[in-house]
Amino acid sequence: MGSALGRDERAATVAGPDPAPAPAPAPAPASNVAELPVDVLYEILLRIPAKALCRLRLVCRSWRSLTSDPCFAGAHSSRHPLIAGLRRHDDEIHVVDVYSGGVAKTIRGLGLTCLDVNLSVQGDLVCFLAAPCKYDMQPQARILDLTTGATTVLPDGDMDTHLSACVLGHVPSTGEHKVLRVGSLYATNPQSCDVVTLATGDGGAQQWRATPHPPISVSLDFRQIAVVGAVVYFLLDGFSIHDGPDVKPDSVASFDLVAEEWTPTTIRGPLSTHHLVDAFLVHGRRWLLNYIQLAKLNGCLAMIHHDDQCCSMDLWFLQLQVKMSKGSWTKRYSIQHASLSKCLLFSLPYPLVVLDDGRILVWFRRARGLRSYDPITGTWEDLAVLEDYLPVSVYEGSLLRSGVQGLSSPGNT
Amino acid sequence: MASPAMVTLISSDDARFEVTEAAATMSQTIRHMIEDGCTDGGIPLPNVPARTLAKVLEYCNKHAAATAAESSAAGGAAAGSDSGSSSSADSAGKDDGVDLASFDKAFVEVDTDTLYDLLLAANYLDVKTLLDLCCQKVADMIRGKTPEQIRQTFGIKNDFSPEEEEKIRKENQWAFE
Repeated sequence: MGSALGRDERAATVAGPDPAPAPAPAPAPASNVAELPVDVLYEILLRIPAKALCRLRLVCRSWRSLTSDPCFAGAHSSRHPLIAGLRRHDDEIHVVDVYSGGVAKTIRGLGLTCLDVNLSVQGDLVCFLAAPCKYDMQPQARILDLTTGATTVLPDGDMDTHLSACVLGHVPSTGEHKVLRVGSLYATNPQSCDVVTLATGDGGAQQWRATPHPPISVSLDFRQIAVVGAVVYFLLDGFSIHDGPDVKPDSVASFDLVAEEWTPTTIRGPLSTHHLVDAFLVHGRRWLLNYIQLAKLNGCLAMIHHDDQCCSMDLWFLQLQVKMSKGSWTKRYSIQHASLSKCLLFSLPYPLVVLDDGRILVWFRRARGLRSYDPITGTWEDLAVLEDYLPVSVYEGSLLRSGVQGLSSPGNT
Repeated sequence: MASPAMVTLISSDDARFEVTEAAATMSQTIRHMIEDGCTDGGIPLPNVPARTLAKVLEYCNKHAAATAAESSAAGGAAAGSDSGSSSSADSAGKDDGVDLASFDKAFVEVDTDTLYDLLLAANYLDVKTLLDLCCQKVADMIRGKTPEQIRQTFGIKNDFSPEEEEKIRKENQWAFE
């Protein structure tokens, strides 16, 4: 494979590195790969994993500018869907390629604790709890930038973090990232919550701002929390004893990150709305809660209802009306899967994302795998093995962003 | 059964190729020329030399035949009348998936120059599946190579100064670990 592709100009290209590179970063015309139309080169590079691409920025200026282009990064992300997974025992966060199962990037030495069961990913940022000492019961909320590997420690604030969930959200109107923290000092206390805006640029003071209590006690499990737009949705907490008798077991509370307040009324879930499950009347909401999850799918809030008797899950999508509490739910998917019976929440399959081709990516924790479900054919396909990750989350950012900051290009307007 | 419609393609070095319209129209470029009625006396393809065009047509013939077998198998099963030809097409259709995949794999086991020519031709002729196949092959070749190996393989000039190289290496540190 040693022959040059552009045969005619080979002689002109054996010179060593240019001792005095021109200031203009336009691709050097002597490069034979210039013969390859840019759109063909684009198509080729799109098929290469992010890590190799970042290495290949060293090839020449035109390859570097092509792989640093935000449009390219966007196209690359949709072709190579990634998930972020947390490995507590190794103290690592991995970014994993969905199709190959290959680890695209590893970030080490994070100070993860045995308490850390939540992972909130928004764009290139991840919010997680960590402590300088492994068994420290007062871990700090930290923000990790997956592209740069840089970690920021958020201030402690007044909350006992070991019973809290930190959720990272993005406010598109201002470009700000905010972290919402919900928790309680003891499991039996009413929950309190606070919010912090992430500093941009050179830091600056970050202070937690206390906000009102949620209207109901909410679940702190990452499979029962979803961020859609600038709103964070929580399923109610099945173990709470503080809520009124009219609260339904599939009620959803929502927090508006712009106004930094809870919507006073909860959203009624599809099951109670449609009187689908009478079982909870018999078994109580604790029982039912083990079978309900929330996720962001197709840009909507989705409620997943598992029926472990039938090994099936129904995916309900919320269409919000003008008044947030008046949403209507539509069942878009009803999925059969052969899973072990008598699963509880921690081992139920969890849908992560609807891929561009319409397939649904589902994480089977107990089977340690990622599988895709094709709703048209009704068939499953094994994609990747995920050993020892808990939790996992879809990563919608781009690993190609690393190194782009340093790219001084006149076209960078 | 009527004989299939044929078209004549003319390579850049004036070689003439007669192929079925089904095979030729796998190329969107040729399809548009046929739709515009520019087929009299053959379709000139000034960007594709005979050697490459022959290879592209090998691909198109194989894939067009497989598609035809598939649709006649489906059509034969639905109509149920054309028994003689449809049963043979049916058995041919069953192997298509495996058969085509191994054909494709072998098809791009070629030297770099040929692959490069195929890539350009597939792009110009707009044969999407062939372009995908060639792009994937080149991507597979590239992904494990060092930047220097890629420069050598593709005859690319390194237009970075050593300082710039060091800077890029630092900015993309994680990719070199």
